[in-house]
Amino acid sequence: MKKLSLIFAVVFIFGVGNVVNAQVDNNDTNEASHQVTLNIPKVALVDIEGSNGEANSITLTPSLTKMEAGAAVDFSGATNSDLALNYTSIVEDGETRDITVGISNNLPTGLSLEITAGGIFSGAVGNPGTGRTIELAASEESKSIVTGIGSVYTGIGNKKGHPLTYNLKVNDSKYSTLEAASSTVTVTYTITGDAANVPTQE
Amino acid sequence: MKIVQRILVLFLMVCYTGVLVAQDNVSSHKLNIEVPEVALLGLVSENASDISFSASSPTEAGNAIDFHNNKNQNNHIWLNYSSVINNSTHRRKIVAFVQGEMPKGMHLKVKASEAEGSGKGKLGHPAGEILLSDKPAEIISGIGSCYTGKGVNNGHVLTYELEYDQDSPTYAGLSTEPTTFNVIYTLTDHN
Repeated sequence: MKKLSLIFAVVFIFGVGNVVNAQVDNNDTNEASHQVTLNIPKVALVDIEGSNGEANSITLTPSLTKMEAGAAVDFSGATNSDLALNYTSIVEDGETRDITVGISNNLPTGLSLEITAGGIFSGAVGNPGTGRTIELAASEESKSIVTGIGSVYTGIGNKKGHPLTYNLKVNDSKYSTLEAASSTVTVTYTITGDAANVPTQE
Repeated sequence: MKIVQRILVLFLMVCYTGVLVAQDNVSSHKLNIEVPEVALLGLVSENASDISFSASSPTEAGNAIDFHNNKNQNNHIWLNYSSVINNSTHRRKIVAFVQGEMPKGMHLKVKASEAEGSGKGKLGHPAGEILLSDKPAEIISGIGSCYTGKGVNNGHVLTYELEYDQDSPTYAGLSTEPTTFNVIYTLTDHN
């Protein structure tokens, strides 16, 4: 019975305490506030879009039409502008991201691949990056093709983000190494920096 | 039942991670590169690519007619070619032969120069002075992937020379009737 009284007493004290607290907070006005914490995750997504959605493959081949004896093979016809680079990024204050591009295998000797990320299409919201022209020939090199990306989304599709133009080029001084052949490489774009959607590597 | 739920949750988590990996900061596509085989040959000259040999009459009775004075007027034909081979050891050559009948005892020789002009790559090497016949003879060999440049002063210039046998039947067979025949050049694969 004594135990019960004790518990009762404790409950009572707490109860009085609460009432006292409520009575102390007597400065209510017509305004009230509470704290809200917003957690915005860092995001870094990149995608390549073609006219039929996700890009799978493109082909670069020079045209021999109207070629005259004595002329070099005209690689300016080995070009493609079907694809666009879309991305979504949320960065911390002052942080920027780049998009780098690399190829899976060395190109056939004497050839190089020129890729241009053109000016941003309309529809991007935020701070898109700046596109540039880079040249690749070997698999170990990876180059920044878009720099200075802030918090932005480009929109989705091959008329959003940066237009991508691919050109196959021949190095005249290595013309003798040219061989008639078909080959396939994988072109990979990576948006740099950490993000919630990217598994961190430890 | 709880175990089943746990497995389901675990499975969903794995799937979710998979989606993130597929949709993450990397995107790639395939790029096909196709380099076509090329074998093109052309003859160019400042004027027409026809050549003619006219013997000059001797000035003194008792001398033979002379073809040697014609040497210089027939060396303005240039061989232009473009080639892309299909492997690093593949080589091409240029052969020439006469189509039509040459007068008996007459011999047409041709010599290609070393490649000149704006060409690049593995250009061919001339075989020196070659006697032309109705059988293909190698004029230039060892052609890889290359181009000579277009037009005169690019590629190999051809020099022709006409000779005739200094014997009685040949001289007896000479006629003032003009004779015309073709010289055919072919860029071909080595056998």
